[in-house]
Amino acid sequence: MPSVRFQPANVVAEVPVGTLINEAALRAGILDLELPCGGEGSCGLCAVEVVGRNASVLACRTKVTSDIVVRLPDRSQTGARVLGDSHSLIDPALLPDRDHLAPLYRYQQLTVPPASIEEHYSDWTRLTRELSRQGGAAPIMCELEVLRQLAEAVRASDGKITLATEESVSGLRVRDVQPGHRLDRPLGLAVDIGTTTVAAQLIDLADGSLLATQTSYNLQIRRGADVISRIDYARNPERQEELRSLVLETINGLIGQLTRAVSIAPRDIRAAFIAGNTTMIHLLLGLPPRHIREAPYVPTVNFVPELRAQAVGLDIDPEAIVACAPGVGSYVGGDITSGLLCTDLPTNNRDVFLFMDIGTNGEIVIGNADWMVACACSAGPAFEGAGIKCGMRAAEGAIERVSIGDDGVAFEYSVIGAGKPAGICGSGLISLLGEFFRQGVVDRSGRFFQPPGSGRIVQHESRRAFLLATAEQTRTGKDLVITEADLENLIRTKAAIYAACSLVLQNVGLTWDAVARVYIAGGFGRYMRIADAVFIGMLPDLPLERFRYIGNSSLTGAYIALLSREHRRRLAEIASRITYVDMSSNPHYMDSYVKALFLPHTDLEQFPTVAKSFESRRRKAS
Amino acid sequence: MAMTGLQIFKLLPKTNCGECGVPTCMAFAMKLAAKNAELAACPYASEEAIKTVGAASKPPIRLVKIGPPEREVLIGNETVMFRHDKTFVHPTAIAVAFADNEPLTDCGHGIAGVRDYCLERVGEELRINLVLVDNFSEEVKPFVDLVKTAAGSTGMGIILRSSNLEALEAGLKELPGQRPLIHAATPANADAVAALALKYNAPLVARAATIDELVALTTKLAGLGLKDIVLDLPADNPAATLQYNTIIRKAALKNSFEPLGYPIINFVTALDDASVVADASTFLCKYGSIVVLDRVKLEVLLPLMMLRQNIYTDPQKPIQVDPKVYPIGEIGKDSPVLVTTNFSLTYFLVSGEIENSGIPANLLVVDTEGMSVLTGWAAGKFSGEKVANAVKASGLEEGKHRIIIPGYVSQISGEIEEGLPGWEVLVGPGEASDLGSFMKIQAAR
Repeated sequence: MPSVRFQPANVVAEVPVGTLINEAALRAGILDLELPCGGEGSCGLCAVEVVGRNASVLACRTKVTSDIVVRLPDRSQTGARVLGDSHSLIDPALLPDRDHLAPLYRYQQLTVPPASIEEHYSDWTRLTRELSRQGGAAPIMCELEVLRQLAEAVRASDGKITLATEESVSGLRVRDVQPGHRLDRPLGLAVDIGTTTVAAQLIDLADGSLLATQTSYNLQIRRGADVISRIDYARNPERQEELRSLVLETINGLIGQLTRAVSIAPRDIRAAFIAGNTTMIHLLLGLPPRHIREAPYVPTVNFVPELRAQAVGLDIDPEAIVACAPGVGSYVGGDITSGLLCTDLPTNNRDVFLFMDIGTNGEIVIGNADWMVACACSAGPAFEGAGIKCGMRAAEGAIERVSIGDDGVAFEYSVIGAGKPAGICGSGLISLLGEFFRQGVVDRSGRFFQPPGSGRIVQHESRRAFLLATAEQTRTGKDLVITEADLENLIRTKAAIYAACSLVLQNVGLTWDAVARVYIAGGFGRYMRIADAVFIGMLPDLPLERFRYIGNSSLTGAYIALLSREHRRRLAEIASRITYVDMSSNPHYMDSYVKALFLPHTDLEQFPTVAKSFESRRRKAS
Repeated sequence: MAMTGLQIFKLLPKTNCGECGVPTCMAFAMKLAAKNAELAACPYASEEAIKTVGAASKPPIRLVKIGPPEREVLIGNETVMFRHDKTFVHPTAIAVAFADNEPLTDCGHGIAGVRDYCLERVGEELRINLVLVDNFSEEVKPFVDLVKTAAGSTGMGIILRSSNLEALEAGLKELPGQRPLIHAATPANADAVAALALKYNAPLVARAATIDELVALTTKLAGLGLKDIVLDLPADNPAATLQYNTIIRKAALKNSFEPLGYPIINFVTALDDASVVADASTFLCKYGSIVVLDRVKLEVLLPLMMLRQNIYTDPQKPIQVDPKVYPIGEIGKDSPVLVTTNFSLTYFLVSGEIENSGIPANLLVVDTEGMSVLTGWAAGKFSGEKVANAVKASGLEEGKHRIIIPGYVSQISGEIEEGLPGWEVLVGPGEASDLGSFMKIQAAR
């Protein structure tokens, strides 16, 4: 069998003749070769160099016939994005009270009063009365094995027993009984399955403390960058099963890293709470996703009943309870209901709040304690770096912020992790577009004013482009540029988000002024400057203090739900109260979208602050 | 005034019981605001809700039904000044007038012309909608005879025009259950004509010389219990009519002014064909719900029918083209097959670019229910399987053609290849504007 050596990682895979290079990379343990187009050969992001042949080929389209050495582009070597402790981004009042936790799984110490001739209630009845007295959920159920052990346990230590209980929305289940008061600390897992990134946290269920956080790319990426591509890919049972095992591989990989980090066995994890969009949950559970995509857009399930880890395929205690955040519909899933737990939108009864989770799909929820309306729009993966010539994810080597001098030429940038840049990430792109517009480098439709050869404007593949860094200044050894085509793409993305927000407001008969607070969730926004996003017209022109950035709220919400019965109940209530509005059938969406395809917008009256600074600059110039 | 979803929501029980058929009260409120639901569907609506929402949901322009059930004409219920604001709801009814002092045979011939007139365009049958019978003779018998002939021969709704109450009543007696439109109640005869309209359950026209008189008249008629009213405000010239029509529509929509919240009837009085078309077109465009012509002439009707169809086509619904193969240029054996969707805008852009390239090609239009390429793909209506099936069903010969798919759906190329062995599938450019250069390069290959 031919061997394929991958550089610079210097790992080797032996593969049969005819194997695709990207499959060989997988066998060599290289997991992050990007295939946003699902291996259809259309996106070009998996281009690799065959050393000695001086040829750049597509890894997803090139078969191995003999021994070769393949050099991977530098950016596929960059590590996973660092996820900070996003809990610190949300209002502490929204987190469950650590002194009164009611986790999905816990050990409860009870003292069952002895029976007497007068009070001859059974052991089980005395136990359940004691549980209810302590505020346990009803109905109370148990395993047969618990009953078998019960008589012995309640009598062994003067009625002192320790119960292992699961408290889900459907009630309380006693899973185990031991004599005496034991002090074991069960562990729990919170997971956010994103289309692009999967994040997981290991939690001490006894006191709610966060033990470790890990993130990784969703291995399904190589089968398509967005949910529609994944649904399309999963059109037959074998491929659907492939996607299921890819996401399981991702999650179980994270579980391995988390448990190694704190030196515990995965089997000690007794409960998992999972938040993800409807497609991700369907693929995880092995449910056919095709009806999510086809009219009338009905998923198999929104409220997933509690499951066992073994059935789902998670490498934790096989009998561990697995709960999923309930979804609203095909395009508003459990990641959104879970994210709403990190805001006071569902509980505030005075103002109207807006919550937006910006990813490859943008989801928007508007409302308050009385009502909630949600919609989804396809923002596209531009802010995650895909479809942008020199775009990349927010990882080491990404330009995350730029500034341009008043002359439109002086140019500075900052890079994540310092060092040379390898590309530009979402926050960098927003910052760049904002600066281009602010300093008069581009006009309102995103075209460069100056011809190639003037300042930093160059000709790149028949389009005008702005030179961010020359080949010598980059990690890739290639010029970093932003072309007009890239700018068009970015403007389309920001227009989709703004149009969806405007339309959902219009749908309920409100204007932006009525929105007292805007919560922004998502991974890319970590370094995002709200002012830049307003300047380009992605976010509304509201006083900046009305915006709150809350990070990966889906994961934080899963953490909260894992620990609090009250929040699990609230999740179910949120999911059933949200009214979903379908944008695809809204004839005004196209209008709104086209109007937003300018910087900041066709209608400058919607952006008075931006218009003002725009005017004053023009006066200065003339 | 129309209420927003949120305003309506505040009046609802907020229990999300789902008994109205939608899952949440907010969803129901939004449906009510969009006039896609009736408050009656909510079993728990409060008295206040019924009162407030009922008043708000009352259409600003009354819906009036004219004619027998099988040829019923609906007018009114309009909600916007301009079609691009939303849509116009009910097309202007075109009526043709006949006078009862002309020989009946002439009339009969003309009436057959009205009955038989039919223009087929884009899958729709365009027809004359109403017949106006004018009691020119001011006598009862000729009027009744002509009413009988007109109704019997055409089966259409009739407008009874007379100032003779006896003749009007005789005409109404001939048309039980056929809801003829009475023309007209004036400030002078309002009580008597209103009594007839009530007795025979017929809609009627209110006709007055000035707007003020008209407002007073409709207020009086409404007070007498009449609901189905059509407005007639005669003017000296078409420009004045246009002005009146606009004032009436504005008062009804912008100010919710109830005395003018009714559809309008306009009479075309010009004599030469060109002026007839010009005047009638003006009334069609600007707020005439019934336009009365005094003869049937093909060269006059053709432009009016087409104009009406264009104005009253709902711009919110994507316009579709027939899904089939469109050969462009001199097709040869090796001409490529390009695939696109049946959204008309997409079709016109793509076909235009193919024509401009000068390279003959077959354009296969796949039925995506009027969705564009990416939307159709995302909704599963432009999948590889659907495209492959469309190619098979098209009758295009196998193995002789290359098939070119839009660049934005490169993902489906594999699936098309699986479904169409023997075909070469090429991924074209994403934008139609790049199609010309792409086809030239392919042709040179």
